[in-house]
Amino acid sequence: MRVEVADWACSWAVNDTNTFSFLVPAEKLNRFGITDYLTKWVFWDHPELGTFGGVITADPVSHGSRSVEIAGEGFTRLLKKRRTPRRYEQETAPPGALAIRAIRDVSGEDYTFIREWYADEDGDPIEYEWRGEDLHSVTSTFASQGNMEFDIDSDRVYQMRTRLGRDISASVQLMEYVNFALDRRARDDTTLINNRLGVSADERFTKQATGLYLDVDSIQRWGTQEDTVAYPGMATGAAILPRVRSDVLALRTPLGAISGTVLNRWGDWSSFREGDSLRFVLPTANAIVRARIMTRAYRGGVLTIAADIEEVL
Amino acid sequence: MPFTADVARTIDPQGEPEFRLNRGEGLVTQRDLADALDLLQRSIIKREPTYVTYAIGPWFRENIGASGDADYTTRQIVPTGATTFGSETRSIFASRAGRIMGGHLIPSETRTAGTATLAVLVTYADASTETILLPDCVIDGTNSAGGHHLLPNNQGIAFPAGSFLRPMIRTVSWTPTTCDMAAYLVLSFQDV
Repeated sequence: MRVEVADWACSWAVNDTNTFSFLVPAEKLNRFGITDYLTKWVFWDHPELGTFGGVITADPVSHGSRSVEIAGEGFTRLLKKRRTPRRYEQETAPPGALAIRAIRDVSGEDYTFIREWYADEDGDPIEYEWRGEDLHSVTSTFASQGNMEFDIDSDRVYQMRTRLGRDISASVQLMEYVNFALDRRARDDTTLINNRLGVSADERFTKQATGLYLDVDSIQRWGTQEDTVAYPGMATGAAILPRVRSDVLALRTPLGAISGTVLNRWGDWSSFREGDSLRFVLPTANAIVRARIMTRAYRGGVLTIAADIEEVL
Repeated sequence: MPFTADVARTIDPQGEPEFRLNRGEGLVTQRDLADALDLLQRSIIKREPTYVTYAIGPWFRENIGASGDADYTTRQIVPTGATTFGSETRSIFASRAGRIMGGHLIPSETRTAGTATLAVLVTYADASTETILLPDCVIDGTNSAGGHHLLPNNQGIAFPAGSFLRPMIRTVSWTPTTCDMAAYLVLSFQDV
């Protein structure tokens, strides 16, 4: 059913909930013959932004303006309020494999409306006990433990990958004053770490294996920034140390994030999606960076993005 | 005229990019806290499984040390009639995998010299055998009245499902050789 609506707004995000919202005059809804919109699906097409698909989760009515707001989430909503099995045993497997297992088990009980599911099944195994928890909560746990990303697109295809999106910084550039208007560059030392002690999360304190890595250049520039992190699923120093090292290398420089508006000057909106890494030229910030688009938000002909800086070029 | 309405949105997609930056600057949402608590509960705090531990026995052996230094097998009391009893060399069968946590040695006479140490004869499903010594369950100069030892929970000696178990008593220069001994095994199984 095609509906003309007003003030469509939507957002796509990496490892987060896609959202949408639009308005409809209240009297117009009655003509559709449907009075209950909750849990119904919405699709919206844009020639350059792509398709948005989601589930209606709210339809509040504003009496003063006689309008109805139809709002909801992307198709990761299909993972919510579905119960995983209860089993009195622990299972050890890569997070992607566990996620596929969860979806398959839940789909066996009742159709989830997820058409296909794919996952990267590499990476360090994690241990999990099935306790009948929410499928979305379980999937989020697997993703965070395994440093992976998941999403369900408008075609209702589920993916859990080491990384969603691609590095297209060699071919796509957003330049301030040309096709990008910088709103804010946020940078602080919240995530800056150059001296990390990794400990085994699965052992008691007196038996914990440890791994320590420090970055001398970062310490020299920013001072010592230390922390201690427990790593689940790693019982030996030989397993912990490479992971600590890769984490410190990623955190040793405060990179920050940027937000701003992308102008659709030459169809630029079609050249990237959330998860892609682009090259940004930012004279205001005196920087050229490679940043990864983490969120796209559209409303009223304006596309706003938030991107995590991966490297200062 | 296009429809417009100035209403506060229940869901504001346009605020997502700024919200993302705020999270990068340290904003923690309720969802983040819930995920962190879930991760903590599931993997960081490893739950110890419940074990069922119990002592099995007794097995008996008469005249320990009478045949010199050796591993003396033990026997269980079995009825030979309505009111008579004998003894046979018998092992217990473990249908599930478990751990040997220790045991007890109870002598009928006080030690005068040497040592008597509890061991366990394990017969595996393929009929191979292994004698596992429990060196801390010993009657010696320090523990002359009896032997008793329990290993910590996660250090028990594992045996597979389908094993047969029977205590043995290993003597070294043990006297008195008229001493009879009773032996118990302490076994542990993970609760289902």
